[in-house]
Amino acid sequence: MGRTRAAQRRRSWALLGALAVGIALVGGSSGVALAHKDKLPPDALSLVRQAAALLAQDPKMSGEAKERLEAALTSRDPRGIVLAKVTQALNALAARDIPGARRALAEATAMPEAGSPAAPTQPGTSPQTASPPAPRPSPVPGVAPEQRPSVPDAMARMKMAEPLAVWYGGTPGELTALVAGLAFVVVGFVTLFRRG
Amino acid sequence: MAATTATGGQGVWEAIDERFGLRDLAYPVPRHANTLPYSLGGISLVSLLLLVVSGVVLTQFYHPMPEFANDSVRAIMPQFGLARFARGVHYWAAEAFLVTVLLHMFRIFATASFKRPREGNWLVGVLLLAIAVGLYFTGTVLKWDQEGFEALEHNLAIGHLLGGLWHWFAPAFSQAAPLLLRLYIAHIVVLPAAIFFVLVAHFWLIKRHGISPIPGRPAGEMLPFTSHLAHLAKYAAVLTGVILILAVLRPPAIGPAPVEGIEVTKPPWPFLPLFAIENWVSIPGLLWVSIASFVALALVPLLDRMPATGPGQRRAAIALGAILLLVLVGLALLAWLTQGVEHIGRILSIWA
Repeated sequence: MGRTRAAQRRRSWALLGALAVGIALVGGSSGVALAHKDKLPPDALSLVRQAAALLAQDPKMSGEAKERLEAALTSRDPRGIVLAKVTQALNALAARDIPGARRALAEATAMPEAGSPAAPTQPGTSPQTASPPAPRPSPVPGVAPEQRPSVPDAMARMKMAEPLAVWYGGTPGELTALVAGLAFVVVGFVTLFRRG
Repeated sequence: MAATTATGGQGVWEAIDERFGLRDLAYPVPRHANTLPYSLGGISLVSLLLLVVSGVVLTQFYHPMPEFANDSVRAIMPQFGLARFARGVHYWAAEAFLVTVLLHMFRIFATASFKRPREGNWLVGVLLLAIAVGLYFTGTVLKWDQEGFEALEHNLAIGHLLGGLWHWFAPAFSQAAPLLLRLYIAHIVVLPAAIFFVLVAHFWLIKRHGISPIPGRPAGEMLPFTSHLAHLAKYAAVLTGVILILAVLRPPAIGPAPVEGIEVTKPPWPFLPLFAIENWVSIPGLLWVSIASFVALALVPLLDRMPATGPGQRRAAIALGAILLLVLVGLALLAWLTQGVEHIGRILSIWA
C-alpha cells in the first residue's frame, strides 16, 4: 500500500517536472527576444532591398526597415540607388505610410547600375557584382557584371519583390478539377458508409 | 491446370494469379484494421503516391538554379493549368502526408503498438518521420522565396554548428552545383529513394508481426488483406477528392524573391514549435531540441517497456505524451502569435 502511494507520488513529481519544463519553455520564449543580427551590409542597394523585403513581408517590422534605410543614406557605396527616393521612403515610414514607403523603395532601386550587388544565389555567398534575378532563357549561373539591367529586368525584379497569391478563377479547367474532386469525395463517402 | 479448366472471367483471374501470385495478398488481418485510426498509415501512403505523381509533373516546370527558381514557380501561377494544379496537389498532399504520419504515430503510441515485438518497426517509423520532415523541409526551400531562403539559412547555421559533419551543406562544397540544386536532387532522388527502401522495411515488419491488436480486446474476426486494401481505397478516394478541391480553391502562394541578411518570415506549421524555442535559446537550441526530440521518440519503446498496453494501465506514459503534445501545440501557437525575431544575421557569410 505504502509502496503504491510512493510510486504514485513519484509519478506525480515526474508529471509536475514535465509540466514545469513545458511552462518554462513557453514562458521563456515569450519574454526573451534574442535579436543578435550581425553588422548590416555596407552597400546601399543591399540595405534598401532588405528594407523593401521587410516591409513587403511584415509591415510591423518598419523599425528594422528604418534602421536599414538610415544606414543606406550614410553608406559609402550608394551605387544603384536613388538616394532622394530613400529619403522619401523614410518620410513615408515616419508618417506610417507603408504603401508609400514601398513605392518609394521600388523607385529607388528601379534602375541599379552595372556591377551593383545582386540578389543572393545561396545564403552566405551573395556576389558583390552580378546580375539581377530576372528570368532568362538559359540556365546561366551568373551573368557578366558589365551587363546593364534593362527596364524590363527592373520591372521583373519589382514584381518578384511581391508575394504572389492566386485564387479560384472559375475557368473550365478549374471547374473540371473541382467536379472531379467532389466526385472522389462523394464516391469515397458513399462506399465507406454503405451497409453490407 | 486450374487456368485451363476454369471459364470466362474466372479463368482470366486464375491465369493472372498463377503468374503473379495475387492470391497471396489475401492473408488474414483483423477487422479493426479497417477503422480510421488503424488506416492512417495506409492513408499517408496514398498521400505519398499523390506527392510522387504531382512531383513528377512539377519537375517539368521547375528550374532548380537560384537565379530562376522563384520565377519558374511564379510563371505557372497566373493561369490555371497542369503545372499550377500539380503544384496545388503537391502542396496539399504534403500537408496531408505529414498530418497523417503524425496522427499515425500518435495512434501507435496511444495503443502501445510499439511494444514487443514491434520495437524495431517503431524505430523504422521514427526514421520514416525524419525522412518525411526532410522532404517537407527541402520542399519548402525549393520555392526559393523569402521563407524558403530563411529556412535554408537556418539549416546552414545548424550545419555550421555541426562543423565538418555536415560539410555537404556548405555552399563551398561544390562550385558547380549550387546548394539549391543539391537540395533539389535530395528532394526528388535521395530522400524519395530513402523513403521507399525504409517503407519496404516498414511493410515487411508489419506483415511479419501482424497488425497490432486493440488494447484490452480479444482478437476478433479476421478479414483478407485484400478487403483492407479495398477499404483503404475508399479513404483514398475521400483524401484525393479533398486534395483536388483544395488544389483548385486554395492554390499555395509564393513569397517574394529572397533577400539575404533579413529574417522576416515564420516557418511552416511543422517547424513553429522550433521557432519558439529558437526565440528562447537561439540557433543551437534548434539543433539540440531537434536531436533530443528524435532521440526521445526512438527511446519510447525503452522508456515504456512494461507489457501492459491499455491506456488505463499506462496512465503515466499517456499523461506524459499528452503534456508533451500540449507543450508542442502551445509553442506553435506562441510562435504563430508573436512577432518574428532576427536570429541569424549574417553569420552565414562567415562560413562562405
